[in-house]
Amino acid sequence: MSAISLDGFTGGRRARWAELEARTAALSSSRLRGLRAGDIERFATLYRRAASDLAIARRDFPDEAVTEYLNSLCGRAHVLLHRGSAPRPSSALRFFATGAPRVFRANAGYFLASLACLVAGTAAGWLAYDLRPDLRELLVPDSLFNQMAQGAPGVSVPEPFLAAPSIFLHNIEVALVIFIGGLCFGVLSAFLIFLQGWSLGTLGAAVHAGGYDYSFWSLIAAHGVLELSITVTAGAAGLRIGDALLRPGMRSRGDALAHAAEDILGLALAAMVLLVVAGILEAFVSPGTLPGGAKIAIGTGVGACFYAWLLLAGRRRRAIPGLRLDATPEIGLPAGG
Amino acid sequence: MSTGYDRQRVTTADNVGISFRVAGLATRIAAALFDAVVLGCLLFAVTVLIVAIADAAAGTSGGLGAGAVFSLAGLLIGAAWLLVAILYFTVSQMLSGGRTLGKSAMGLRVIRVDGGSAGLSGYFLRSAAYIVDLLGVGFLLMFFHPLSRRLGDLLAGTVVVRERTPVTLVVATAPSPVFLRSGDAGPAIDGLSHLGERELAAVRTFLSRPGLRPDQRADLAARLTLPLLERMHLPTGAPERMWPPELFLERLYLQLAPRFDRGGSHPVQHLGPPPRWGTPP
Repeated sequence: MSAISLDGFTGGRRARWAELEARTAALSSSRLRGLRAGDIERFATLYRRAASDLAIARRDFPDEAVTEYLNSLCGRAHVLLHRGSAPRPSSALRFFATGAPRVFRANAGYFLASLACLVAGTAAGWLAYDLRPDLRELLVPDSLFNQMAQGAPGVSVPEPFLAAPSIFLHNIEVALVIFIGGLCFGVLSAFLIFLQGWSLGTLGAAVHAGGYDYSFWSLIAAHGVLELSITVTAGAAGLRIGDALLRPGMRSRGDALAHAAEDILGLALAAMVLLVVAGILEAFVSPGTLPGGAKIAIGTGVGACFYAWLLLAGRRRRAIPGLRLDATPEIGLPAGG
Repeated sequence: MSTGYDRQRVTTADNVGISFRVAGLATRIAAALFDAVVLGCLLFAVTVLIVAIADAAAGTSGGLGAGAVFSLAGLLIGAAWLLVAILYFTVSQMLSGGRTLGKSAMGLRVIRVDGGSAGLSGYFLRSAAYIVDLLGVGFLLMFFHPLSRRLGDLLAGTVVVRERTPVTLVVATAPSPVFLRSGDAGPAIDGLSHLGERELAAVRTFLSRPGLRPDQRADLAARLTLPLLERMHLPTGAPERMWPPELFLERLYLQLAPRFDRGGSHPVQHLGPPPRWGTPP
């Protein structure tokens, strides 16, 4: 071991550290991508040498201030160098075309569970309306029921250009809360999906009792199919998160959560973007003067496109079974390992 | 090097350990309050804008339509608040590499647990998770979590660290001051050529230790002097062996240091001679 005195150690390296510190400060608010190749190389070289200095300092001068300084300097430079790839429009498009449907199919079970919550809510709402006539006033908002009962086509939308952003931003808010609600072990997501079903069920029962079935369902069909499907998808993402918390498997709970979130976030966001389409339909088509049959046809068509995208897009051609790498069973850790 | 903070240890690609100082609950809340003030101004502006638009729209539609316009505007304000808040946190962290305005003010930064920067999806997840964290879960979790992580941090795989370093380059590389009692190099000492930089470093370390009690200092000096005298091969009756050890070390340092110090000379602080040394022979 060469005996280095602290002064000998710092003396020759001081200038390099100062340069790295200056470059780190200049970079920490801007981006590496704007730099020339030579600058990036210089930065990386300085960082690697400082990291090696840190290793030496840890061994030889563990209690000196210079070790703490190098640790802090390397930490700041490390964060700048280790950035994920920046989001690009092309990668977002590719994810939309193939990635999101694949994630959806891989998590189809959660979608079915979320759908079950919605159906249960609808059935419960419908039953509640039928079984407790005394509570009908509470179950269904008065104004909407009256409008329906009078044969009016529901909510009148005077300003579609104001209504569209209001509606889709509100729906995105709801979908986001349903998704993030998964953090409460999935309970909040499931409950909110159930509530969506509940209000659909009570309304459906109310208009059924009034005999306005066709006008009601044709009113909500154009946007409702897509909107409810997206809500259920957001619920599925929430349930996935909740499941990661409840059953983390081989990972720690925190790791399982982060992994599930990274996996499912793209699907949830892609679905929420489509709420813009649903909002535009709700503001421009649903309250319009189109015949009910046309609205139902539009809703069915949009729904069919949505599910065709989720179920068919990005399917890989089937490979020879023996050669599929992704079919290899995971190698488990030895027991107790 | 323990500074009392919790630390997140990261091993780099070069297999060097870097430890990040984790930000605690109080600092995080202070940063969040700072952000809340900025965000409050933003939300106020958004609300005023929406109300102005709704007002104009209601004016043109009039009558029954106005009520619907304002209920729409209410819907819009609710959604806009949430989305603007999430956008504020996400975009400000994206632009500055993990620092909202509040975090910048408190010297904090969001990093991934592996020491990299979190990226767009990470910042978005952290921000969206405020919906649940602000219900109180986040505070409880941060209070008990060893790395002060809230649900948003767990979701995004991040941790918030302190960036302000307690040690600057100047402090870290400044030569430590040497405390001397007499400051007089005394008569030339024989056998200096047997000593090297390590011995000088040992003597300097002793002389630059502040806060020693007089008896401790004398005791340490005596223990350090013996091996030095041996290495210098001084004869049994050499006058240096008669000097008080503290005085011997000071004189040794003053004569030895000029041989090795390149440029970075250590500043000297004079303490004044203690009475019990008497007059050195």
